[in-house]
Amino acid sequence: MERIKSILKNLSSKYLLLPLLLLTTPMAAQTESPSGVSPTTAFYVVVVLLIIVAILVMLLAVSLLSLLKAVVRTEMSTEKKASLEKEPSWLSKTWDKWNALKPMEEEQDIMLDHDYDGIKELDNHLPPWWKALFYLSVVYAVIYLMVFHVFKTSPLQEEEYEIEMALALAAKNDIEQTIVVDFDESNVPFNDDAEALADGKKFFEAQCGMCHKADGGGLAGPNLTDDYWRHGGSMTNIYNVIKNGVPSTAMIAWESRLNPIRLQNVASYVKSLRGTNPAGALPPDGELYVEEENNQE
Amino acid sequence: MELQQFKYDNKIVKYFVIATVTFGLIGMLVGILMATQLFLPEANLGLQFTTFGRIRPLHTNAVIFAFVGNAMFAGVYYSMQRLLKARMFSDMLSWIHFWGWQLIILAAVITLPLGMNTSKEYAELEWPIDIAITIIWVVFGINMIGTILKRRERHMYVAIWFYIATFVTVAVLHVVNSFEIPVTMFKSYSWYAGVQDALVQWWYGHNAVAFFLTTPFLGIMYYFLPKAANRPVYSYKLSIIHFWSLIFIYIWAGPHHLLYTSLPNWAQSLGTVFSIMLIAPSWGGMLNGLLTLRGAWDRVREDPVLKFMVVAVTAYGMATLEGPLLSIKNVNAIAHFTDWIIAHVHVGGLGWNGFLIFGMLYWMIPRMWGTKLYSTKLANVHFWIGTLGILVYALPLYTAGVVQSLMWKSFNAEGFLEYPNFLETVTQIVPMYMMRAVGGVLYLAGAIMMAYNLVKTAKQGSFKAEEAAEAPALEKKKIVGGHWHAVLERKPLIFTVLTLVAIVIGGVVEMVPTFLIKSNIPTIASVQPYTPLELHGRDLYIKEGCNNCHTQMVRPFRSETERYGEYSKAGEFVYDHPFLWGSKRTGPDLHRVGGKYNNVWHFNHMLDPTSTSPGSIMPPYAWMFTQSIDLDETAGKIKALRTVGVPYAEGYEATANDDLMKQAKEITADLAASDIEISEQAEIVALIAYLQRLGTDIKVKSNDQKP
Repeated sequence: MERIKSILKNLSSKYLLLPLLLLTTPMAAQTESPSGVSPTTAFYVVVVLLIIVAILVMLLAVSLLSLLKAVVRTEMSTEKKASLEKEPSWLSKTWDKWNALKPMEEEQDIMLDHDYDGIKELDNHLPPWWKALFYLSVVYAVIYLMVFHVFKTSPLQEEEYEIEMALALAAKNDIEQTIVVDFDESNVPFNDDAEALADGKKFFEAQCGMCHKADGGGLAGPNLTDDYWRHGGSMTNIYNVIKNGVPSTAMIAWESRLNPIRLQNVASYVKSLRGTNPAGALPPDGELYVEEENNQE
Repeated sequence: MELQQFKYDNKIVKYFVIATVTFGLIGMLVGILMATQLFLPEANLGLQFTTFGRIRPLHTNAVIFAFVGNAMFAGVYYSMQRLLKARMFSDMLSWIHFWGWQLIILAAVITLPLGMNTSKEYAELEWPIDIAITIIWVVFGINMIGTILKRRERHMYVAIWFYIATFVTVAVLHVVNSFEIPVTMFKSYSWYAGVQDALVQWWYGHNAVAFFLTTPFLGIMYYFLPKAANRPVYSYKLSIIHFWSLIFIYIWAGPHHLLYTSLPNWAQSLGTVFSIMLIAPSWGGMLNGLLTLRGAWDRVREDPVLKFMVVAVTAYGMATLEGPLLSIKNVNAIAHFTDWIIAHVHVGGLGWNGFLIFGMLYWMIPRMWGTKLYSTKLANVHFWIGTLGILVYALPLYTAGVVQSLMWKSFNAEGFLEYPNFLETVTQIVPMYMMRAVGGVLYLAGAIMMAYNLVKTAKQGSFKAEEAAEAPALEKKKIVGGHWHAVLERKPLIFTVLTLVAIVIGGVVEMVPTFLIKSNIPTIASVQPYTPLELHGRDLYIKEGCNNCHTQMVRPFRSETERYGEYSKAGEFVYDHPFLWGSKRTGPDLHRVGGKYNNVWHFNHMLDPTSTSPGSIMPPYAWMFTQSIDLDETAGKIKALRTVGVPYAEGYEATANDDLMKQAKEITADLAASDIEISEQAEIVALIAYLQRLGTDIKVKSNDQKP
């Protein structure tokens, strides 16, 4: 499965998928570029396309087959035709049985004597499988109500939610034990590792960009690329603001959403934005921060 | 017995047919305009009147009430006269019905783009139009019952049963759901609030599908399909069982639109189980249709009328299986609020209603004009392009729905949302939106072919406005005995009353306890009525149709509380007249948006959504920055809401505007700090006030719960 997905990912996003989706407009390029098509999506899209193709092939096959049948029939003698029609297939026999279908010839026996503007009605029995389906659905309904509201053996939505949250919390605790860092707000170091910065960048553009603009130039939130800071511009200052947020502002605490390593990566990336001078950046805001060389390792 | 001579009124049918085709094309065109805006927001033409939120109700009203509605009346007026061997009860009522209905549509076409709407889905029209609908519907009902009473056919055929159920139930649904208190000529507030309003609305919404889009068309199927196939109806017993079970069970299923919301659990469960029990009754209709074609399948291959009908009935069967499956909680948890639902309703709408109407028109027009169809070939092309259109429409949306839902729900290994930015999940499915629009264009192309074909057919024939017929009058003698149901078929008034009883039970059992038993909606002390400015903002939210793309219902799932904040509680909505939970998340949920961003962010976002959210498909709302709210309306709003139970102090309306200006000044001052100048009375200020209030009434557990 993983293998297929990864193959599809390579194939799909540019060469196979988009042209198939009739995407010839410039919009296509625009929507594809920022995030790309994720492997999961590509997988589902390709599956759907395969289903469509399969349906088309099936339709084609069926029509070819019926054409072939018609050709064969016209060339058959009448006796042979008659003998063919006397042998209903296994499928049609089962179908007739499940529906309790009366042979067409006996139709007159069950014709009701009503006539509504030329419309007659037959008095066929209810199809047995249909009746069974109806009974089953009623049984399902009774059991369902019993389970949820009489015996209360299955959780209702509020309890279901509590269970889901408890499981998530347990899993989170397990993971947090594996992530051990030797820093906190007071001494977190700048990480100039390219991979770490790339990770921070990705997160920054997707999340922080909402308020600080993807390039850090500032929108609703302040410019992060200059030397002026509302809450200090050192690595530890930035890490602290991201981790704990700034009360009564739109800057929320990210502690519960990011692990310490990711927090460090984002803070490092923000730090790395200094002096990038993006176009359209907001004017300075806050106090001038002067870098103390010994703050960084 | 002497034969009586009389004439069928074909002229009224002709007029309804013309209205059907005209509004069908218009409704579909509006649909395509909307579909285009989902990948190209600029397609709103820069006008407020043609922006998604305003024309979405226009599309649904046009296709449901104008296209399908007129087709229903055409089919009913044609078949009922013939099935009852009688002309319609009153020509005058027929014409009042016709012109009244078209005037209602005209009123909808004018008011909806202007933003005059109640926000309640498929019941968006404002109160004067609601009254007009009630009157015209009663006219239709009198005309129908009158015709039944003067019939020359002793028993009522199954199609008539379905027509009766349609009339009775739609009347009940419309009246109950439209209880509203007028504020101005074209503004009202729903009588009900929050959870109760939601329950009433979806009892209505679900059964509008059942009794406006389903039962009348089952009746139409029962007339036109046996006629076109020239075959007897398969089973009279099946007709009886599936009719009564369908109308009885359908009415209960409304709460399946509200699974995992703040609706009480017991009501949700009823919605689920009655939906499941609805599979067999629905399939009864499909089976009776398909098995009627027994012995006529060779003709299905050649006759476009039968082809359309077969696909219609099959689409009906598919949609009515899918619906119950979507009502199962686990499935609903994935599909709800996504494009899956849009795909589902369009299989029903395009497949069942659309194709049955096309089949009916192709059969009826040549007969009324005494000629043959102008081009069978063109009708066949229509069939194939229409079928392809449905597939190209639905499949991408199914994919989009599943993909987006899985993205919303996926967590990474560290237990954080994999796609914390909602926008990522939108840009991912934009290609699907494009394909869907292509599907819509294909379907419309087919409908245009049909319009041409029908006009050509009419031109080559000559219209018979009055069709002579004869039948013996009903003898005035008592008939006893026969099948128990045949007895009912002779007594239309008793039949109508029994129908009413069958459809009322479900609604009463679900609504009465929700309204009367306090524990169903636990009160929360900190929840307060909206301030006057927020009230104006809320009305603008409704006017612009924000609820068409944004929900206000955080469901109790970890993936939603992580993304939006604490899940929504029933007690938070007690002053929401109407409720604004929404049914589709094209954009993110907004119930906890209050305080999440600052005023400047909202200001910039509404002016140009892409400035704060690159790649957003939300249109800019430039007009909200130049238009002003009307302070003269404040007092009326306060008074109306007090009447329906919101605890504004007596006389508050006199000072409400002072509070309003005070709050507006706070916002403009905050904006001014960021060098933004805007009038206190600008619409955007009121909207920001409302958005900042949303979901902030209850104290959430901790800061991080509320991003």
